[in-house]
Parts: sequence; C-alpha cells; structure tokens
Amino acid sequence: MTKYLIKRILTAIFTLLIIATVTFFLLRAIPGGPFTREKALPDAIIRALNEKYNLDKPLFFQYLDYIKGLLTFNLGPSYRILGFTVNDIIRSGLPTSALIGGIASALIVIIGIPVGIISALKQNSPVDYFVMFLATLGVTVPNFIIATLIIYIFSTQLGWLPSNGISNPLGYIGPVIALMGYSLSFVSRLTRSSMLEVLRQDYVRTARANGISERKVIFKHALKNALIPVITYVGPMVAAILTGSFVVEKIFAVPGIGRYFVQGVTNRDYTVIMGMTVLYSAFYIFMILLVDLAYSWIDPRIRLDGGAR
Amino acid sequence: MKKKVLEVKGVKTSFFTHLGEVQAVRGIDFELNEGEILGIVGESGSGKSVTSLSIMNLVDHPGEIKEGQILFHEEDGNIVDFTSLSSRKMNEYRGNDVAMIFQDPMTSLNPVYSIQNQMIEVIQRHTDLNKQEAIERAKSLLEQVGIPDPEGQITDYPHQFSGGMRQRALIATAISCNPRLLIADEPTTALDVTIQAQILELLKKLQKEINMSIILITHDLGVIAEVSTHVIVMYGGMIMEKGTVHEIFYEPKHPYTIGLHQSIPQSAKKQKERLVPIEGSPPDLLDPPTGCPFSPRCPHAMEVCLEKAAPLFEVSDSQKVSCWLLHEDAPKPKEIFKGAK
Ligand SMILES: Nc1ncnc2c1ncn2[C@@H]1O[C@H](COP(=O)(O)OP(=O)(O)O)[C@@H](O)[C@H]1O
Ligand SMILES: [Mg+2]
Repeated sequence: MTKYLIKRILTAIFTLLIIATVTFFLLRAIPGGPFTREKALPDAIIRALNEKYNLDKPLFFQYLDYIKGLLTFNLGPSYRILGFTVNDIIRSGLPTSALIGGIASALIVIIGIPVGIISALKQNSPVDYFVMFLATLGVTVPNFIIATLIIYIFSTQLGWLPSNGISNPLGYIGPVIALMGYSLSFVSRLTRSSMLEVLRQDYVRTARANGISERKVIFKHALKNALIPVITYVGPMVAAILTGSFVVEKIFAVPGIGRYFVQGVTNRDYTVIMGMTVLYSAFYIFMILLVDLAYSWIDPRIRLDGGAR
Repeated sequence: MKKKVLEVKGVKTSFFTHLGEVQAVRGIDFELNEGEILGIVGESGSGKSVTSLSIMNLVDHPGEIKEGQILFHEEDGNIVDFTSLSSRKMNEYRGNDVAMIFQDPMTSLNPVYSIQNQMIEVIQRHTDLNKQEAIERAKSLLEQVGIPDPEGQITDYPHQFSGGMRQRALIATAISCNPRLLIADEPTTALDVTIQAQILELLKKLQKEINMSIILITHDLGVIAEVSTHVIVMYGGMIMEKGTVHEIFYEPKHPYTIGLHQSIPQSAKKQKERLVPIEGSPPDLLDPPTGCPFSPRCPHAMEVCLEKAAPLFEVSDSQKVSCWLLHEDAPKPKEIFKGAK
C-alpha cells in the first residue's frame, strides 16, 4: 500500500511537470504576449518590462527558470496584476472558492445519491418523474441562468439573500446552489440509472431468493455496486468545483479564484495561466487517486498493485 | 402414503408489459412429495423459470401471479399459501424452507462481497448462530458441496472461483438452512459438460443427505433422465404431460413429449437414427392460441385441438396427459399407442 502510494505520488509529480511543460510552450506559441495592448505600448517600455521579467532571455532559459520555481512552489509574479505573485492570488482566492466548492460538493453527494436511490426504487412513480424532470432541467439549464434567477427571485424580489459578495454568510447560499445545479442533477440521474441496472442483476435475485430483507438487498447488495460509476464521476467533479467557477463567482461577486482562469487567458498572463493549470491539474490528479483508492476498497476485483490475484 | 411438500393449484402468471399481457404461465397444477426430484422440461420460453419464480413468490414487476395457490406443506403438517403472504413473511421461508439456485453462477454471486460474507448473511438471517458459529457452519457446508479447501477459500471473492465452484458455493448457501424444497433453474446449463455431471451428482447426493425435495428445471431431457424421479413437460405456459421418469421416457403419450424425444440424440446404439426437429415455433404468449398451445405444430392436431385446450387425461395414477388424443372418441395413432417407443 505505502509502496503503491509512493509510486502514485511520483507519477503525479511527473504528470504535473509534463502538463506544465506543454502549457508553457503552447502559451509561447500563441501570438501576443502579456504586454500586448490594443493601443501599443512604446517599444522602450516593452523592452524594459521584458527585461524585468526575463522575457528577453532564451525560451529554454525561461522554461528552466519556471520549472525551478515550480519545484519550490513558487509560481512567479503575475505580469498583469502588479505587485502580486501567482502564489498571492491563489492564497487570496482559493480558500473562498474551495469553501463554496466544498459545501457544494458535499451537498451534491449528500442529496444527489439518496435522491437517485429513491427515484430508482420508485421508478415510474410521480416522485420519480418529478425528480427526473428537475434533474433534466439541472443538466440542461446553464449555471449563469440559474445564478441570475436566484439573484432575481431571492435577492431582488424577495430580498432574502444578499445579491453581492459573501460578507454576510447568507451570501454563500446563492453561489453554492448555482454551482451545484449541474452536478447535483447529474449525480442523481447517474445514481438512479446505476441503481436500476444493479437491481436487475442476478445476485440481487439470489439475495432475495435467500430471504434477505429488502432493506439489506438495497443498501448492502445493490448500493455498493451501484456507487462505482457515481464515484468515477464525483472525483473529477470535486476537482472542478473546488477550483471555482468564473461565471458563478462573477455573477455573485465572490472574490474567488475562478475568474483568474479566464482573466489570465485574455491577458496572456503567462504565469497566472500556468499557475491555474497546474493547480487544477494537481487537484484533478489527487481526486483520481482518491477514486482509485475508493475503487479498490469497494471492488475486490480491482487490485492496487495492478496484478490479478 | 408419502408426505406432500408442495401443491401448485391453477397458477397463472402474467407480465403486464406495454405491448400487452404476456401470459407466461397459463394455469398449471402439480404436486411434489417428500424425497422426490421433479424435473420440469420444455423448450426455452415455455414458462419454466416463471413457474419457479412464482413458487418462490419472486415474480418481479411487471409480472404478477394472477390466480391460483402455491401451498407449501411444512414439516409439521401446517400448510401455507405462499401467494397470500406478505413479502416480509415470505422472506422467512425463502432461503430457509424453500431455496433456489439459478442458471448463471458467474453472475449470481455479489462480486463485492466475499463468499463467507454472503453465506453467513443467509445463515444468520434464518438461525440464531453467532458470527463464529455461522462461519463454522459455512465451512462445513462448503466441504459438503465439494469445495476442496473451505478453510482457505471461504474468504475468497467470487471472481476467484470458477463457474463450477461458484455454483457449488451457491448450492451450499441454498441448503444452509436445510430447506424442505430446493428449486434449481437450469443449474448446469452455463457449465462445462464434465462440471455439469458433477453438479447433478452433487444435487442427488444432497437430496439424500438432507432429505429435501428438488424441482430441477432444464431444457435438456438428458439431465432429467439423470436425476429426476418425476417429470413435467411444459409448453406455452401449460403442462402437456406429467408422470414418473419411466413413464415420460418409455411411455410418453403427448405428441410434444414424443417430439422432444425425437429431437435429441438418444442412446449410443441409436446414434444412426435421424434427429427430427419439431417444426414451427413456440406460441406467442401475448396472444396465445385458444386451444392446445402445441396444436399449430402438432402432426395429429384435430379440429377440437384448435378450439379448446385438452383437460389432463389420466393414463395412470401418476401419468396425466393434456391431449385430446386420449379422449375415448379420438383416433389412436399407432406411434403413440403402440406402447413403448
Ligand atoms: N420480465 C418479463 N417481462 C415480460 N415477459 C417475460 C418476463 N419474464 C419472462 N417473460 C416471458 O415469459 C415467457 C416464459 O419465460 P420463461 O419462464 O423464462 O421461459 P423458460 O421456460 O425458458 O424458463 C417467455 O415468453 C418470456 O418472454
Ligand atoms: Mg428459464
């Protein structure tokens, strides 16, 4: 187990380095740079800036420089947000995004899975139809519409929720719901269909033929099998949700990290884009590791060391 | 007088699908006594599995037992009608007094729990044994069904067992509470021929050891000949003929039974004999024929056969045949009434 974990962590570091490398050179291949403006800056200023940030050095030198920083968790200065390093940006935005995302992820699991189970057990009943209707809405309506509706109904019309920022704890409710919409719907639907599939399996019939109570058939025999595809989805989902959403944070004026993904790209802010990419990839790789650990815990056919028994 | 174990009376089971009512079982009657091994044989789709699920009261939505009684005679003579039990009450009988094993051992065990876990769950469900005692019981059951190393293998997971071993483990679980009746639905169909023979031997041995009755479902007359004491021939959701294994093999009276015999290879010495398939295909259970379900394929069909299903004519105490040819006014075709085939 320890050996396996060490192997996985080394692989993860290697993967991140590859991602960083590819991103680094792709960014430089795109025309334009951090100091490109619609109204061009004087050459002298650009030269001075390039010099300040080492952008005048050979590309490979810049690359080594960046990787060196990365290995010491130093993601470099932002080229456009003056006086801030990428580390500063993450330190200021990530906690907020991760808190909102963490609440949303937890609620998605706590609500989505039971709702999916109930829907499956009551297949083709009004409850099932209602849940599936909501779930279909949830996956089809984009989050900016959900967010706008929440603000319109609960802030503007009813005045129950603040419309701006999170200085008031109630301010978390809107962003959390808007962030949950899609994944909550998806998890409910996935749990439902997976549960229906598993309930048709022969081993469920065996359990019933042996007089096992319906409760145990569902929660012991069916659920554990039904959760396998759900876990597969939830892992990467958590990585995406924890790293914030540009749209949701923008609409609710949440000082999170989501907007830097977009801002960084529009500004050609190399270090910010790199930082965000590496950060998201790290979360993602970590969640995949957790998913794999969960698999091996649930399903004895999956062995962590790779070999079959 | 032998003690009865099961009486099935006028059972009809249908599936209410969006295409309409699929009449899978259309009124069947039979009895089973202590110590008997009853084979139910018939082409696929003839309603054998639905019959066995009906006995277990396990017919899934959209299926439903529409009519009839499943009378289970307990050891002490008490009689219960399974069709009238709540699912909670029924669960006390399942796995305890009546147990069932299924066709595909590869998928009939839960892949995410160990053999031990799944066995002791059933044992503890129906007995007062504590965990340790249940484990000991499970090990001795595995030994009884011929698992070579119960001590070492009981904690294995299903994927570590071969098909034959899984079927053994499933049988061990099914007999764990000494059921009065074991229903085996095509227990060997998915297995290699050699394993097939071993499993059938095992069922015969267990039948004696714990003195249970068995209903063995198969589409293979060879399997029936191997183990059964009595036979029911089903077709189109109805019983065509029933009798002792001797009667069904040596004095079959129903044209369908005779057709079945001719369509399978017989003994070695007769290997040169041509096999004769039964022409035509089984009836559409969404819209079954009003008369005898076999009449459209029957070489002897008469007008009455198309209009009205035949009652069960009594040939002997044990042999009953649902065929108008047995009516006293009917013609007597040679190949049926010459006696032995
Ligand atoms: N869940 C179901 N829904 C609809 N029809 C079914 C269902 N299960 C069985 N049937 C129908 O019942 C008939 C008898 O099936 P079955 O008892 O499985 O036959 P077999 O003799 O091969 O075991 C078949 O025509 C089958 O299509
Ligand atoms: Mg069948």
